[in-house]
Amino acid sequence: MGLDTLSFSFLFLPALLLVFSISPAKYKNLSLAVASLLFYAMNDWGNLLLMFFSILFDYLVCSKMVRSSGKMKGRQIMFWASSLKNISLILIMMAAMQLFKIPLPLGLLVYTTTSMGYVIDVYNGDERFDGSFVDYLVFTSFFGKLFAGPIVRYSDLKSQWENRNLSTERVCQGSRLYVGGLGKLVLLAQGNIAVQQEIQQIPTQDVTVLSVWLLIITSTFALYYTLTGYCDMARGLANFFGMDFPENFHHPFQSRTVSDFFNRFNITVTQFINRYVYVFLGGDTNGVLSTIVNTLLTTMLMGLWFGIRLNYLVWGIYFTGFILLEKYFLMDYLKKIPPIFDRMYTFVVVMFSFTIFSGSSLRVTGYYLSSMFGMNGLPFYNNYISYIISTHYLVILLSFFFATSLTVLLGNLIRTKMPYLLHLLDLVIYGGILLASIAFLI
Amino acid sequence: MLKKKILPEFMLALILGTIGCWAMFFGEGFPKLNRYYRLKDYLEDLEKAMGQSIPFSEELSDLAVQIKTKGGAREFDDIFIGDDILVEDIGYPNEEQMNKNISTLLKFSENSRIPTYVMLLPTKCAIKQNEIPQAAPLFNQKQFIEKTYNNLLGKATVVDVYPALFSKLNEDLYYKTDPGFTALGGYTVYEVLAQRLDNIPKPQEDFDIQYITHDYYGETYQKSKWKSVSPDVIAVYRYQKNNRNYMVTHNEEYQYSYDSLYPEQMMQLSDDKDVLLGGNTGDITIRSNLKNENTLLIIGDDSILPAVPFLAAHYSQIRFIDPTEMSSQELAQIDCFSYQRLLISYSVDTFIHDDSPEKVAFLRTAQEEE
Repeated sequence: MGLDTLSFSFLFLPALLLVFSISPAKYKNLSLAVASLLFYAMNDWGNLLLMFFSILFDYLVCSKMVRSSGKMKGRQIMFWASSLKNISLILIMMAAMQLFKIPLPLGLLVYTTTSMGYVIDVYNGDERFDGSFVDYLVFTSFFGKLFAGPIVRYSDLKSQWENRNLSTERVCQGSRLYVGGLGKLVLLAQGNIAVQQEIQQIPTQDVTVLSVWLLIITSTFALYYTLTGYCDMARGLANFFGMDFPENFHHPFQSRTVSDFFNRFNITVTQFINRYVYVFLGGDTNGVLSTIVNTLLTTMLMGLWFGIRLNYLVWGIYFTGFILLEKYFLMDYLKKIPPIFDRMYTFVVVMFSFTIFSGSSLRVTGYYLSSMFGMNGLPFYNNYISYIISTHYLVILLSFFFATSLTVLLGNLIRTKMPYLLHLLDLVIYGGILLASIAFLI
Repeated sequence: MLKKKILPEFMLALILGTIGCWAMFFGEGFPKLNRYYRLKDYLEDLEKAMGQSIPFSEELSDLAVQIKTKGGAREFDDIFIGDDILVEDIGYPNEEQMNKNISTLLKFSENSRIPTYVMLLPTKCAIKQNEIPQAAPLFNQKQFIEKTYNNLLGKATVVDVYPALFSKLNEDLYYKTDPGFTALGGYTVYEVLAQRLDNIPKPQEDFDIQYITHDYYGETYQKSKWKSVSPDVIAVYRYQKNNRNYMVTHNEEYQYSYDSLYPEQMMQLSDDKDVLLGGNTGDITIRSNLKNENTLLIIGDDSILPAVPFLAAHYSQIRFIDPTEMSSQELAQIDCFSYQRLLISYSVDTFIHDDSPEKVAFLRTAQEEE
């Protein structure tokens, strides 16, 4: 029962909303914690205990660290035990996935990094530990964010719980995010995956330059809309329960620089790695060499977030080159040229990065790159690829459209010029997306 | 204050929950959880039930198809949407199986002591090319048939019906909602086949055409998500000369017979298309009152059946065997030498995907059996 299922939207969610709405304020998080465990059990029963004990361990570490605030050594041991547990859990599970094709436990990266960040903050005295395990469970394993985040901070949630905003506006905002996210997942991500699969089924002798380009574009969009769809749904669900999760993707394909791309792509993960790795290592304050090493490590980790694979590592390294190039040479020029050109530069760099990301190995990536420039003697196009394009053109066009901020611009235009139409259009557009998504799910 | 706080979530729960409850209580029934059910399987079945039971599920399903069609899609689940016709895409061959079938056929034809004829029938997507998107990648059936026939040269007599069918691509040779041939399609196949079998095909005027239903929706329609297709007409051709009588016997565990090539009572009992010889039971013998010694054994799939009533006008006995459900022992027991000619007939779809053509190897027609 994923978030993008009918049984979730029409059985699980309303049942939880009902329990949540009639629960007294002090039991609202308990209802969310129980629902999150139930949701986890329904999706990944085999790893429920792993998640539970991992979170419980970190909770006990925090509790112990707070109680033994005077004993530095004891605190250090606790802290390192927790960090070691979290890092090894991630590494072991990712290695098992790579080597033995065992699926990664649901939400492993989300709940371990969230929990690890909190332990670090408590250790450093940046976060307060208030002793509620139920709150801690909701903070680390809220069912909405298990699939793709975002990563949240405890203090942000705590303040929201203390003053829970359960207004109609918040629920409406949540509904928009939820429906929009569902649409991205069901209509765009699935649509791009379908195109991707059709291209992958083209016999080797019929591969063309255009088919390789389209494969890279649709793989990129499939990943982007899957992640952003889940994150939007998580944010919508959070809104339903009086929480406000941060934005995790902010039109990354419109970035003006590669550095800017990382400020817009998987934002909360980037912030997490910056905060706990880049800044911890000294950031850019210890000279050029240190900056290079720190940037390299940070971008590599951003790649490894998606799994332990050489291609993801190289994806990160590729970006290091551009980030450093921009930092030391290009930034002045990029600031001077018209926005359309720096956006085009970033779009091309990002799109090529996905040839690395999409390839099953570096050899395949090399093949993609050479094919994209006609170096393998491939024809530019043939019947196969024209048929695929002609039968999926709408999903490809919509994917480009929704990757830009044109929808936001249009929304703002309507808000200023025709405010009376805003609610009606909201209803028509989001109602339409919901209907279409349900239709595609049937 | 309390009311204000509860209301939005409660309202949302009410709206979403109503849809869920509607599906649960007014739908086709939800799977019941028991201890033998694996949770994962239960949730999958629940999701399926939810999809079928949600209010307006059929309309929503149509909406999804309409949206996809507007987005350029002309094919759903390997079915092309033509102009008031559904065309099945047979896809690409299972190379391993196809090669096995070809080598079995070559070996069989080489060793057979009975005059052997081979016919590969092109499917709708090879003939009705005008109904398929121009750039759609299709398996080249014409090329495949020609290549296979070239390999069979000198080993068996091949029957190439492709040109005859393709020359009539605008006629109703295939049902719109079913992969099979219509009676007209069957007649076109017969015209070519009869000549190869050294018969003079009876002219179409010698047959009376009877339309037995105008609202037939076939197998493809049942599978198709696209439903905007008008129904098919089922016509039967009856040979009216020389007081010809037929006895159609189905050789199942208990034999039963019909005294007509078109037992119309079958329309009440099963699929309308089963009016043709009473349906495909895998072993059918057609005897006529024709006083000659001409007999024919047909081994193949049901794609040949629409041509059989026409062939029946030339033979005192035709036996049709579909080896799909037959064991090797049952096939070995068939007395092939009591037939003057042997026709192996498969649709290209069956021949490139299915293992039943391999079973012809079990027929005892080789020299050592003489």
